[in-house]
Amino acid sequence: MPDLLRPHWFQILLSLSSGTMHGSAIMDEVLERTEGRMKLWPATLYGSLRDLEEAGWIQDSVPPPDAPVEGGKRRFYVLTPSGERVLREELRHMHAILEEARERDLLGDAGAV
Amino acid sequence: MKRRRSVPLVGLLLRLYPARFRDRYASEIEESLGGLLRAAGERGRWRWMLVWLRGIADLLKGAVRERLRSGRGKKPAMESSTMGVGEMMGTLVRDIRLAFRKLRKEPLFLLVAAGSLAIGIGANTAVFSAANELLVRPLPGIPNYERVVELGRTDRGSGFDTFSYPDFLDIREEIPSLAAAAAFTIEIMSVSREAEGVRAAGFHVSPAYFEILGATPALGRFFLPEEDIGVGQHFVAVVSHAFWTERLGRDPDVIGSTLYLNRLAYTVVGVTGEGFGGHMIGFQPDVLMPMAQLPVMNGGRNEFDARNASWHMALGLLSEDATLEGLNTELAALAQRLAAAYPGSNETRGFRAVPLGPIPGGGRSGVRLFVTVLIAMVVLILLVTCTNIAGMFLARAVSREREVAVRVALGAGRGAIVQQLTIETLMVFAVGGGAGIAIGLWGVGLLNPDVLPLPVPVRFAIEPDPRVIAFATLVTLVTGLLFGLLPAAGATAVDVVTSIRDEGRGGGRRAGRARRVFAGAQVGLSLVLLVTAGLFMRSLQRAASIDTGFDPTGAYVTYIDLSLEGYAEESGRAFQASLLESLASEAWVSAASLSIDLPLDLSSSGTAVTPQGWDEDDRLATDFNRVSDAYFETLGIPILRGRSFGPADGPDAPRAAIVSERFGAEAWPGEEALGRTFQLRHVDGQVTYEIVGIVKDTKNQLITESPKPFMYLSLRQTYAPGVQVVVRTNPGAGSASARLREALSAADPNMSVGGVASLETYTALGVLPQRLAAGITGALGLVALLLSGLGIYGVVSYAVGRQQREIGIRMALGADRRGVTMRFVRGGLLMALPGIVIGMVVSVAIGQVLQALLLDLSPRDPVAFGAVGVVLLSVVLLATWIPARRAARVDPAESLRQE
Repeated sequence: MPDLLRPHWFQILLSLSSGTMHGSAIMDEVLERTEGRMKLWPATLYGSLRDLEEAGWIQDSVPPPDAPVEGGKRRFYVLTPSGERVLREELRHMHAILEEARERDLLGDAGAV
Repeated sequence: MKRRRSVPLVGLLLRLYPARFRDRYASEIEESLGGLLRAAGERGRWRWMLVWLRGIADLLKGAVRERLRSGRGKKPAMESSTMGVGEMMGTLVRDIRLAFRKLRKEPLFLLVAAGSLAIGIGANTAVFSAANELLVRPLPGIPNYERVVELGRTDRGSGFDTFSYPDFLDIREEIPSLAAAAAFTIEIMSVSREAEGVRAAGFHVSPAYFEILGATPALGRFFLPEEDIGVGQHFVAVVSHAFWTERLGRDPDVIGSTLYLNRLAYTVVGVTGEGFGGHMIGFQPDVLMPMAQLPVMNGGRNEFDARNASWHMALGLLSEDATLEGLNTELAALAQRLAAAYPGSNETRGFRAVPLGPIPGGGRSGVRLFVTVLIAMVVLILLVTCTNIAGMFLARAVSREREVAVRVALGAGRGAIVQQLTIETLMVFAVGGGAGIAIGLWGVGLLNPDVLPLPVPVRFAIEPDPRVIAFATLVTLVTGLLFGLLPAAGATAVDVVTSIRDEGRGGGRRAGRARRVFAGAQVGLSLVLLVTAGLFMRSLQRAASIDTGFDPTGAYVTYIDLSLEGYAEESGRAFQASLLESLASEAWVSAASLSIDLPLDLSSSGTAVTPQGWDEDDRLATDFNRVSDAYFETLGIPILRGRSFGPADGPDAPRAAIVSERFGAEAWPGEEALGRTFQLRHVDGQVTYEIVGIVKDTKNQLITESPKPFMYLSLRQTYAPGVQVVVRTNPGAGSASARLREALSAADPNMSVGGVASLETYTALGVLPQRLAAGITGALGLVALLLSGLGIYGVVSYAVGRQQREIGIRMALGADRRGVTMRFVRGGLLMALPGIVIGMVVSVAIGQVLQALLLDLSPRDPVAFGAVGVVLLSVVLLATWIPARRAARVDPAESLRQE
């Protein structure tokens, strides 16, 4: 059974699954989606982006047409096919864990579909 | 282009990252952190600081991580992903444990490094917090803060003094830049509802006072325009929210109720809003009254029409489009018109407006100078701390070059070693920073006014400023990291084989030079601090030798307020008379007296009189005091001619006055003042006083002041319920405090007696700034001296340790012990010499700046400079001599065999 992805990697991949984004936008999106539980501080965020790039899971992208032009050198990122695969595997993996938990009735009411 | 605002220290920390990472991400990291901080800044400074600290921590952590990665070489990302959080935590815990063990083996290093950090951070925290509170932070509860100005009177272009009421009215009516102006005076008064009274701060104000500050009442109303005029007509009062809460039990029916202020019945018409604390830091109004009733309260003295008498302060509100410059131009023009119209009073007068600040305009420049001196001192201390920390870490890094090389040879990654050293550094900073904050909090407590012997109830809370703590910690952290870690990082790049064999002598040279420079700089910095402290101490010494005109030794003082004890005027007079009689009959008392004021106690009253033979409109400005018969004997003020007050000066007798020499000289130059008269305006018209005695001039407000006109009126002729009780004791009288208290209790068992202080303590308030400055700079100077002594000691003993072998060879070749010792002592002195020379030059410059605080002492006082020079040289000599002697004890055979 493979290990889970590091939590912030997972969250970044999940953010990018909805489209092209730059660093600060990822930070905001993750913060909002996790209801403030995960704040990606800048050095951690960009370190992770670099790790994910080196792993070949994300890559640089042209800015989306609706992106504001100000702000100079903002870099935009997009999931690579292998990144999408890793994310999908991870989600499946989580899903399996959840299924298991549900079968053992570990979730209580929250487990109801 | 979007404007980028750089975040403090982020740029510096980003330099710790590998260049590849930095080039690619630095600008974006900086920008997104900037965004987070902007958002946090809108939610307050604590929030800002929290986010900033988290961001900095994140950057440091990231730097270690990136360095680790590049240390391990370019490993595939997938592999690093398998190093789980658990494993990383394991490494971290192991490193922390290792660091802890290492530091425990070097208690002296930890103590000195953390200790100097603590002092540097603590002193900065305390002083910067106070500066923020006293000079920068807007006072709360004043919505109009930006538009409020303080108005002051200048004399020949300088000063910031009280107004005469006619001048104030002209300003209020004729200056277009002012939307409103308010006059006010402040006094400590007794406030009572029924029986028991309390001392409270009373503000007599124009109705516009509230409008100017933008205050709104919590209950009732403020004063109406018609309550500004009509002496003896509108006895209405507003109480502060704090007074209403603490003293009146939040009485819901307070509006319309009666309050006795100095025994006069006032009707309460309003309560101020909760956040309102007046316009001066530390001195909040408890009760506010219209100025118009001041003459009634002052026993009849009415100076509303006297253009010559300056006695109240003023505030103004700038009109919407007006500027401070425009206002000052208009004030200057008005002053010229008034000077032409009333040359007798206004010839040299001007007016000036300054923005409202926590400290009233008149005292601001003094406070600012004092605070600036303190800031300069603590910045110097921080510099000493930084150089000291840098020197210590540098020495430590160099001495561990060999250990590092061994670990590299055994396969440890560069990153791992840097991480290890970082953790050790951070631990020292955690200890030092924690202690520093504790010292800062304690120091801030020391600066709070309730520990100062002030005669008025002053309340303010200086709070430690989190930004200052963070800043001071970070500055030292960065110096520590730069000078501690960079050489270590360099050491890991050193050729492993040479390092182990040579004990890293090559890298040591450069670091050694840096340490010598640091040690020299520390000597220079401590010299500056010590000379400053020396100058303050010398000026205190000088103050003690200035002739104040009175003799405080052996005299004790306390304060009683009969209006708070249920005495009316008749019974109060009787009590005061019998108290004086019984005190004077005690064997331990040589003289006893009552008075409103005392010399050099920070408070005084001023008025103006028309001396006999002067024009009716011309006045002589003079300070005054009201005293009982034996006042001059009790305070040791010589009566030069005439007599003191006595039973002949009863309430119905002709009014008598005793004046200072200077009074006579200014009123009737070259002529005898004794027996002459002057006019003083009371509420019911002019009253003639006859001068029955001439006394020696005394220092009244400042120890450095030149003699000013001063007059004494008799308490027999104007009753005052609140008085200072002073007794002069006979030699060998023993515990006067307890006896004085006993005597007062015997006179009235229900009397509440305040603290008893020696008159020496009490009148030392005039030199309070110098005392504080001498104490603070002295303590800091000693710390700096200790640190620089340790710095030099460290460098020399390190050099001795390194050169054991060389010393051995020299001695084997016939060098004598003395020669070896002298070589090291000479080295130590040479190291300190540039510091001493530069320090002397800087001290002379600082002395010039301090001149105003030095009480006529020359800023190049040879005693201060000489003494400090001797002390410093002795410390330097001692710090070099101890390790140098050890060098001379080297056994040549032993040291050669060691290799």
